[in-house]
Amino acid sequence: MSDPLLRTDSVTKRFGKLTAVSDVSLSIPEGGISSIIGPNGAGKTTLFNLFTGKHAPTEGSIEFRGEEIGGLSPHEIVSRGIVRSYQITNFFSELSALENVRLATQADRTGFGPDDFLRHHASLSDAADEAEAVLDRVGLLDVADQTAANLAYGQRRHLEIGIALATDPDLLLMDEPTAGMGPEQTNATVSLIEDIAEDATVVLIEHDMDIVMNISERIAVMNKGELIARGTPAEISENEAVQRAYLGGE
Amino acid sequence: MSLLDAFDPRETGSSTDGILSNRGRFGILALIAALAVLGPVASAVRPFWLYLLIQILVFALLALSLDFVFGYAGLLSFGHAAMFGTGGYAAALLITHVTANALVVLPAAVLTGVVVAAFIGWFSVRARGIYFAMLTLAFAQIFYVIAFADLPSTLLGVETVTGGDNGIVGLATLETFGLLDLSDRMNYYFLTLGLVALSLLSIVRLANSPFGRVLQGVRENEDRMAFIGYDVRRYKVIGFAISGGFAGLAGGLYVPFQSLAQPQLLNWTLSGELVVMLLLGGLGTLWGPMLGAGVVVLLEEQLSGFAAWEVILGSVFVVVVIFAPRGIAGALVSLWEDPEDAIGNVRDALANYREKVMK
Amino acid sequence: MFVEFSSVLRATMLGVQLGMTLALVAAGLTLIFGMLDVINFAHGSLYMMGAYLGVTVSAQFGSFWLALLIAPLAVGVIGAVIEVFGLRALYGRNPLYHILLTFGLAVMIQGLVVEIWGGQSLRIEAPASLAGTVQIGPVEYPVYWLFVLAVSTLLIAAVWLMIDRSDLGILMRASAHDTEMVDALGIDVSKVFTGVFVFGAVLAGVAGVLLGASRSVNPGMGFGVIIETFVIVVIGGLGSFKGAVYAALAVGLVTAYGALIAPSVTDIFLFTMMAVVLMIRPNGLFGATEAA
Repeated sequence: MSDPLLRTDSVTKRFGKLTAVSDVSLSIPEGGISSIIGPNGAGKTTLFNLFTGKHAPTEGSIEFRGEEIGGLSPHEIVSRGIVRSYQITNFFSELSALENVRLATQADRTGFGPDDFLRHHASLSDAADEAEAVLDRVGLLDVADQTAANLAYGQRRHLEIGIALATDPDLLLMDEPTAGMGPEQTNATVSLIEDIAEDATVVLIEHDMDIVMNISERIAVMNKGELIARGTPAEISENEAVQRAYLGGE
Repeated sequence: MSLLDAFDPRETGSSTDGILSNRGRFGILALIAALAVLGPVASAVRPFWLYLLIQILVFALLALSLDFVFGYAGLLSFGHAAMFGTGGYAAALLITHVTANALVVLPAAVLTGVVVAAFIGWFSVRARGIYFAMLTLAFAQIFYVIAFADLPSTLLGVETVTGGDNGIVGLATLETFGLLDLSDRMNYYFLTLGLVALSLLSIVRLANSPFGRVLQGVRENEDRMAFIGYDVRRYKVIGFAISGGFAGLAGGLYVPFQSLAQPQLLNWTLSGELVVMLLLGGLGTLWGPMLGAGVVVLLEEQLSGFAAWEVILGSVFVVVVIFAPRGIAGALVSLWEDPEDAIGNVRDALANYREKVMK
Repeated sequence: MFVEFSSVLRATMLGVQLGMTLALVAAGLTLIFGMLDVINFAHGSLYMMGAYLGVTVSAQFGSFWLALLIAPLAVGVIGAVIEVFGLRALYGRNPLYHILLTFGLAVMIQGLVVEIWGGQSLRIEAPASLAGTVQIGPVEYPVYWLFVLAVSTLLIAAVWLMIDRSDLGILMRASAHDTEMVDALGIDVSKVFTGVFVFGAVLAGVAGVLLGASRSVNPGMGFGVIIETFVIVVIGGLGSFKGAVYAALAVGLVTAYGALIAPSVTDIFLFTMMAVVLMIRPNGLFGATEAA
């Protein structure tokens, strides 16, 4: 097996007395779609927060392309190519869809040089072109000028993904991208995810087992902060520990 | 902490688009031209009015500098008096001990504002919302006490540096290698007007730069900005420092004009008054707060003759907050867009108020 | 610099007393924030109104005790007016407007005070039964100050118990976190809001009367105390009653010790303390931290 893209080694996160993530070691190879599943409160979102720098791990290490990233600040992690999208829509609600995405495409073109203070933002035309291309990809080009807050639910969720995509990530972490969607919207989102996975590695947190089983190459199962199983969809569906976590006990 | 997250000015619908349009630019130029004419006219009618105009211009500049971070970037500074006052004290100390040359004094005031703001900002951006506000307030009060108690003189072992609660008095006016006689108040007016106009144009330019767009994104959703790759803290500190430079310039213009630097320039009551100017004028619009500054200065000047002027001033704020939350700018814009609806709007606002109070 | 033991002891007692009285003001401010999400800039003015009404009542009827009873209740009425006719119109709007509204009110009240009572310093006459001093170890301490300490401490303890134990306290905590839930229980939230605001105003009024007989009563005292109280509430964590009490004690002690070492710059100690606390804990000592 080649070197993994992302690897955690005994990563643990505690909030006071609560252990949200406990001794998780997993590796995600480059390319394709991996999923993390588990009941609510299993620590999936906390794991994402550790990968993206929202929290620093209490113990253990997180390596991306062989380089330690645990405890770096969010923007440093983004510049290395890891980006996440959110379960709840978390964008710039007063700005238009295009401006939302353009803030993201502008990110690696903006620094603290004289130009960044003096020229007009519209002169960053390649950032704008790129933003339009992203909107096209997530199917929002026709509502580019609408204020984000006024978009329909499904459109907002796609804008959410679009913002993440616009930073041109190598690893895209998606937190329940299909939550709350009807069947049609869900299908559109699933094909969007598959399209994204053509040129980036995707890690999904997802509750819909049909989607997970259909599109994931690998699945990791978490329960109560711990990693309880790893494997292909076929292996996971046969796994007894997984069935216990989902059906028995609680 | 949703309560504190709510503590940002996004709902005021502030966008600079209004002043970026050609019409907006034309409006600004027309206003500057009008002010250039107004100065001599006012002075001819009553010399005191020119004094008031200069005062208004200086506070308009200060309000503008605050709006750039407060309304535009969502940084709730309750300590902008710190940059205004230190800029002013820097000017006073230079004039007393070194030179009164405007080409030295004014840049030094700007630089002082930038340095003080960078210092306060670097510490304060760790906290957010109202906590950020309280940190900036605390740092500003520390500067106030330093000036009031004349700590530098104790530390340096000299008789006086800041002049304590009396301040530094009897300052010579600025000079410019004899090019412009600034003891003539009219010339001082034009100098101030020119610098305020230049500052306004620079801040509009900044607001529209890629940097300004990032600040706007920070105001809207600072977490998400970090998670698409921006070093949010650094943007905030730099934005705050830039704003501090303009506040320092305002202080540098104000002190030689009054020929007095006193601790009141650093006091939190001034910072509070500034916030009032912003909200009264219309947060995040840049031009609204400048108008707000004019209104507050005029109100204070006009009402100070009355016995109960504070009561009137306070009541005006209360009424504006309840009935015209988007400030003067908001009221003007809706009047401009739909003049016939003005009476209806007033009626709606009253009905709305009655309903809420009777709940 | 050599400071005598007796002055340190005296400063400690003074600091605790000041801290407990400030806690009365701070408790109202922090409860109002916790419940109503309002930063009440006029809270210092309510404290000031307590002191001035205390001056008038005690002069009129010659009784400090009557003043201690009537003035806080009158301040409560003023609080009710502010909440019902001012703040209610602003709920649901950006909390920044609450600050502006209450700032305007504070300016207004200061103007009114100058109109009615004039600009000079006044004083509430402390009752004769509390005159004189007692010897506590090496310190000669005024009886009145002990009385202030006792009353403030008892009130704070009572409020603490109420918030911690009673149904009303639970209700208050519930509506701070979930107004919808309280609504669903069939409780009138707007009455709870008014009640909390009035309660905070009464506490501030009591503090005004108590300190009005030991500190001077002047039109600047409202703005003066609001800064002190903001420092307390921010250090303690906005909305936290427990935090406000601890922070008030700390502020009282720092003020008292500061006055021993360098009287002209006590404020610097206070603000530095606040800055350091916020640098380490950006939401104050007991402030809610971001949910994971």
